[in-house]
Amino acid sequence: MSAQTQSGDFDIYATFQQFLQDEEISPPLAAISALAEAIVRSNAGTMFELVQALNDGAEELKRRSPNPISLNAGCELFIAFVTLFPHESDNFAELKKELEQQGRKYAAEALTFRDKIAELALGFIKDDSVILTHSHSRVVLKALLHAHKTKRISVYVTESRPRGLGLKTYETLTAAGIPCTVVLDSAVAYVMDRVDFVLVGSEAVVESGGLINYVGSNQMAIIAKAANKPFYALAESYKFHRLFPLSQYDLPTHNPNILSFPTPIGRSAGTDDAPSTSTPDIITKQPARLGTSSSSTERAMNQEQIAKNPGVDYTRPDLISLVFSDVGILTPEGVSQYLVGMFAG
Amino acid sequence: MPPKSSSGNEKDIAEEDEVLQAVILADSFNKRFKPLTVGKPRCLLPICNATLLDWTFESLALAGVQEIFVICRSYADQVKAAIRDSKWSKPSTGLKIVPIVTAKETFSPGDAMRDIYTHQIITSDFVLVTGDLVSNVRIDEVVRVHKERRRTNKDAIMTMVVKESGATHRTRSRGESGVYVLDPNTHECLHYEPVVGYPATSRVTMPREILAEHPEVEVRYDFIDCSIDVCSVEVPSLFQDNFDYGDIRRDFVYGVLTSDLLMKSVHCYVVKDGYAARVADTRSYDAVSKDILSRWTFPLVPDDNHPGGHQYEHLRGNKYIAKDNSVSLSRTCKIGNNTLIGSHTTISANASVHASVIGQRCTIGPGAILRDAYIFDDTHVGAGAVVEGSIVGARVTLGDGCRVPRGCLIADSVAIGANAKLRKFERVSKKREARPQAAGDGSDGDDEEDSDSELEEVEANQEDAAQIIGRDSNALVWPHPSPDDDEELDERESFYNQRLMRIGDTASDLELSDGGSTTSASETETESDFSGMHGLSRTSSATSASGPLSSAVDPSAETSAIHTLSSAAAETEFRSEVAQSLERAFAEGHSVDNAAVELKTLRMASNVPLRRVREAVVGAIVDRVPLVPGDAAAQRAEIAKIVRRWGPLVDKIGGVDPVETVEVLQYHCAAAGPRLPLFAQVLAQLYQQDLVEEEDIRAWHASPAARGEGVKPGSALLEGLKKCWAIGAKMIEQFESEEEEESEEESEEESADEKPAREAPAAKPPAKEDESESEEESDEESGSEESEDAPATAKPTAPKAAAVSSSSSQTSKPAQTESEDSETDEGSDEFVSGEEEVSAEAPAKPTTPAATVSSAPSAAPAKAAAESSDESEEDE
Amino acid sequence: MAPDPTPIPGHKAVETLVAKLRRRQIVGSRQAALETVLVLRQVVSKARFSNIQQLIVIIREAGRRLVEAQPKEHTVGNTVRRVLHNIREEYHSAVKVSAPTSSRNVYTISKFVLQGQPRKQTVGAPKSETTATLKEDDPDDPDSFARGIKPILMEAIQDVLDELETVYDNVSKTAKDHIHSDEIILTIGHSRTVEAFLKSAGHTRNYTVIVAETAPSYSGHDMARALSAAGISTFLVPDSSIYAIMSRVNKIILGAHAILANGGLVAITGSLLAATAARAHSTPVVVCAGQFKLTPLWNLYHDYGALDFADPSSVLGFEEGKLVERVDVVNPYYDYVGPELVDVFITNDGDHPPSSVYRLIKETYDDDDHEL
Repeated sequence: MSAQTQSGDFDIYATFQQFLQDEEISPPLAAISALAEAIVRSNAGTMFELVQALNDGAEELKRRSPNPISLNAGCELFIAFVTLFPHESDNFAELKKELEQQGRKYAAEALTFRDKIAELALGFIKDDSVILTHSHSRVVLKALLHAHKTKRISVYVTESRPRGLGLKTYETLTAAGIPCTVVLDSAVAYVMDRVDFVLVGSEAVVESGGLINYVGSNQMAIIAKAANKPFYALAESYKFHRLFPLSQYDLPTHNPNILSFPTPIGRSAGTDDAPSTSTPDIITKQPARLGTSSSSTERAMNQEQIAKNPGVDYTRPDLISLVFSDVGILTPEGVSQYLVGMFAG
Repeated sequence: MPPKSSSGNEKDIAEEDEVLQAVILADSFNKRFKPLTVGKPRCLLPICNATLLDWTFESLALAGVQEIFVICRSYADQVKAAIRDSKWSKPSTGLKIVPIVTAKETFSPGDAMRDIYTHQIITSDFVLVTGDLVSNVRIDEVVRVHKERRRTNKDAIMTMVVKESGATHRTRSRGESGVYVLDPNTHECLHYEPVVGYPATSRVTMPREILAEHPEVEVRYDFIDCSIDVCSVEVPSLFQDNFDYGDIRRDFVYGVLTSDLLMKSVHCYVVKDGYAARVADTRSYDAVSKDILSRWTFPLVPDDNHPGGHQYEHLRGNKYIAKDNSVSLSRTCKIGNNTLIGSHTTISANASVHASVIGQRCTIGPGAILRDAYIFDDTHVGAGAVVEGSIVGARVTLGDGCRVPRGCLIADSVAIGANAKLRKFERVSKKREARPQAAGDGSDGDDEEDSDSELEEVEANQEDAAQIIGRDSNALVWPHPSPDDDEELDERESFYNQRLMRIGDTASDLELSDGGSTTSASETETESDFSGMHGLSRTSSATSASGPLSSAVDPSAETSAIHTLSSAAAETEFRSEVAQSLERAFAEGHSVDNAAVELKTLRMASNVPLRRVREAVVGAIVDRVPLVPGDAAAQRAEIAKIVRRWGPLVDKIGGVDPVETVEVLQYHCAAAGPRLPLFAQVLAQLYQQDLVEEEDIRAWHASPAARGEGVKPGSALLEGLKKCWAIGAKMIEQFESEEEEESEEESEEESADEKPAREAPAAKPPAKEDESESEEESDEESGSEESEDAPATAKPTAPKAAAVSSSSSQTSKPAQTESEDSETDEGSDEFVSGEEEVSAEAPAKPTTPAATVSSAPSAAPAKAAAESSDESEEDE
Repeated sequence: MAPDPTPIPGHKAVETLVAKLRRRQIVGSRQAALETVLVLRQVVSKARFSNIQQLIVIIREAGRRLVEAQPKEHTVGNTVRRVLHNIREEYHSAVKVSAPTSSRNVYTISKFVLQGQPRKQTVGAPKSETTATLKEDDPDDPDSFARGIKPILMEAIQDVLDELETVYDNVSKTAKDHIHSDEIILTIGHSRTVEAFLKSAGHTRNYTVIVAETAPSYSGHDMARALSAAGISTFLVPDSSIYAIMSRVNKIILGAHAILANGGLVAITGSLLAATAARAHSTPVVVCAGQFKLTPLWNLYHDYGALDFADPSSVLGFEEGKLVERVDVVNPYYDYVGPELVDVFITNDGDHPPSSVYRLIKETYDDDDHEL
């Protein structure tokens, strides 16, 4: 109870968000820091209560953030750590302090992971190679810029609808003097023969050894496989996520709305038994949107249509050549073994 | 990959003898790389960014050589320093490297070998290589084979390593190569003929008895001479004995194979797998670099076992980039196939590099184009510069936009101005500072002042230099060599031939008919008959090869030309030597064999035809006889003693030729007036010692020489000859008479003794007379001796005669002949050497005496005969 | 070269091996491995050190020299790593760590993360029960530690040596389980391991081997000779006909030069051809190799298989003067065969799918040794 009330006035999500302001900080780290914060705030007297509090905090974050996957990974890691932390200390307050320190320390040193990964990747990037990457990933950028120091590379980056983060990557690379071209997500197959290998970041790497990343990665991997091009994923170890999706639809981000079909207008008028809150506002908004879009010469999806689309997708392990992480270069199998090793204690 | 066994080989070599020694001739004794080799020995030129010396060491280390002697001459200090600083001098390499500095006046490999001999460093069979070798051949294997062979055959003194390649292989020198005659079973090298590219050697001959002795013979013209020789200890001493041996192939191998005295044999080891070649000239520099880059030298390739110890990464298309990420390639530069780029080199935008080698710390300007270029360390190539098929030294600066077309050689630290346009095959070196150039000139044969003068002469004509090398340049432009300025040069170094060894020179305008080795039956026929008589003699090759067309070209003629000078000296020296040695022999009463051996070695040393030896010996014997005037019996006894003791020597000196012996005897006696009377008795003695057979005497008697043809008429010599001839005639008569009455024989002898003395005047007329009739033939087939001894007859004293005949023999030298068949071209030689007046006036002059005297003498021979005969009656 | 404070002991031995490796006088993964162990043994026996770190530094140094000498002989590096690994193990088991080194303050999240590393669960019991009298950095007698631990370390190295010496037998232990009577086996090149494997199967089974001649080295010829000498019915076929005969083949058995961390392998040229053909006919591909060939490296040459190019002369005779000038002859010595083409690795320590090679490597070597 007390824990609940405590966490009431302490808005963990806000803390999370403000940690996230920092460009360098990625959701998992922000989550860890937030939880560390939570430890301090919480007045839990026992280990059990503490873990309880943390779980609640994690729940809170997950609930309120649109794309909880990567922060889940962070929370998971931290909580598992806390639970497994050898605490023969007499004073519980000290233990909490200790844990909190650990959290911050880790968040701090985690920032160096990307450099490690960039270094590892360097060995695989040969002079004069053409690289295809997807969307915008800090670690990928880091790797590319690092390689650019010594190797002559050129990069294709996908536009990655709908958020168009590919353009952001494009700007960074061009600024750094790396020849870079933006390609349509739909042109990936077209460009594939030109590239030497594919390099993508990740939201999370899951227990199956598979990869969760911004939508489009999956098709890219499939095409790469078909063209026999290596498909490398870069993932910091705090993105290892204990999750075993068997299909796209097992992802926590999947909700019934995604890919759902609109109910025909005529029928819905007759029967207004639709419990779902979503259907009515579709009906209301849709005509207007359609009107505007139809008037414009170049057609674009409207928010609703986009809303029906997934933000991330899942890439099967057998499509991934290697996963570069700060703990070394892993095969997909390696990743799964790794996760088991971690959480099986 | 090389077989595992190698390590094994090293072991068993190690156990079967102490250490495997190798000798590196780190000097090339020619100036083909000038001006690159100004101020730097050739063996320190880098190829693929490692010095030639390093490549050579690596090749040897590969073969498990433990001890290496580096014979360095020019810039010895540099070479020594290089060795000291190289990784090879580290104890861990297990190599013991001993630099040996030879005298400045070492001009040829031969001299170097003599040096080695005097140093006495060689303890066992050793590997002899040049300082510019690139090889991955398992030399230890060759050594094993060599030792193997030595066990059974002590005379196999040397094994040459040759590599099969097409006759037209880029790595094969077109300028100088050789034709090898091999016995495919034993791999013995039966004959070797050097070949020059231009003017193209059109024919090569081999002695016929090779075919006789070896059922199966390979004549190969497709070998690359790797100049890796496994030699036994004798080799240096052989060089020592024959101080005229210069080049190892042209002189030594050729000499050994064609000598009838040495009785040594040379073998070839034909490399099947493995690579070996030497960087003998700029052209082969190009070729070998390419071979290395395209990995023919594996595992001696830049990315694997680079002798310089550099680390290179091998990329598709045989591109080698220094591994340490220090090379900065601009994004837009083009790197073609077969290129090697040293560390810390920068290649700017839009530069293109094809089939080139770039040293360390170089900068290639934007838009520069390098094709087949070889750029040493620390060189800067300006923007937009173009370098093609050229070698650019270290620390050179090529101005922006300057053009270096095919075949240029740019020496170290030259600066070429912007937009300079060099001509093809331009040779450029740095202007000398005020101080005279310190160390002797690089890898050419000259000594210092020589090269200095050379440079001065270069400095002399710099008027046109400016617009060639552009402004603000510190360069000297070397004059282009031209065909006419090389008459004094050994023709291998001649301009046209050099062109065949120049980088980037297709020499397509030179017609190079590879006539191959043509041996026309007839020639081999005749020559080998005679050479059959005196073992294998140079005559054979000389006669057949020196056809009217190719006589100048013919290798042997050419080599002999080299010899001519030295041989003159050799002759006279030889004379005195022989005289002394015989003197000693007689005085100290050596055994005949010992004396013979001594003579042989002498002859070997000064390389004179057998006849000279015979002359010397016979002469010595005759002179030996103490004159006992009056007392015929005593005289005879003396002669008998001497001849019995020393006669056999005549036949022991190698090659038995009684006819010649008699002839020589005749000439000697005739020349030495007082001893003339001894002729008959000595001849008789020889006959009794069975050194001379009856038919020999007949043969001699029949021979034109015996009748003293070609000898200047009216000379004392001629008279002597006549007398002797007469005596001979008489002797022959006796042979007829002998059958019935042996008893006479005795009396014949003594009668023979007294005769000459009294007959001297009587015999004169006939001499004139039958000389006159002999003149006609004398031109076309006059024996060398006659035609040459002619001038001598002015003062026919023994010493003079010696001197003259030595001079004569020098002219006769080219053919190295002791067989009559060679006289034809002897003749031709005479014409060249301006002695025609002898043979020319010969026919003219005698006509008068013949006319005047002819009437009288007609009866003379008969009379002489009669006298002698009836006197013999009287004696009884 | 050598670290200034402690020049490599047994420097000589190291250098000679370096030279031999550079000159390719030692070729073949097993031989290279053997030589390396022997040299390392010398190094350790000569080494003077007062704590384990010093020793490890020394060994690493020696190892680095060797690996640099010939990066293409992967087994050299592997052996060094292996030795280091064993030495550490022995050390840890010998010096029974009094406490888990006060985990409290060292136990961080990143440490926690690293628990993920697959480890050999069964740390072999200490070979020798040397009681923990091993005192490191003993000021008054710096060598005491060395003296105490050397025998154990020697044992550790000896283990590596023994493994190498028995590798063929151990690989071929299970031969008869993989090869059945009247099967047709295709192999390529002349791998000693495969030879031993097939021969031992030949004792109990009656089957047929098709050997591809393996141009341009033609090592297939030797293989065929060896097998037929052992009384196994053998066919020799040109490489070009591999695909054609694949339909009749039950299994193909490859040797390996090195097994890479992703389960791919580096093998003699032609292996890729054979493996791909096998895949097309879904014929199982079996790879026989000792575990000393496990290499903690990734194939960085995915664009073209071979990473070692021999001399062209075996492809095109040097005497073809004209041609030599005009064409560039390339003679790759190895192929890279990806993990997806391999069904099973038969090692001297059990059979493994390509996917578990990764784990094997993690267990055999210590991560911090990957970069020597």
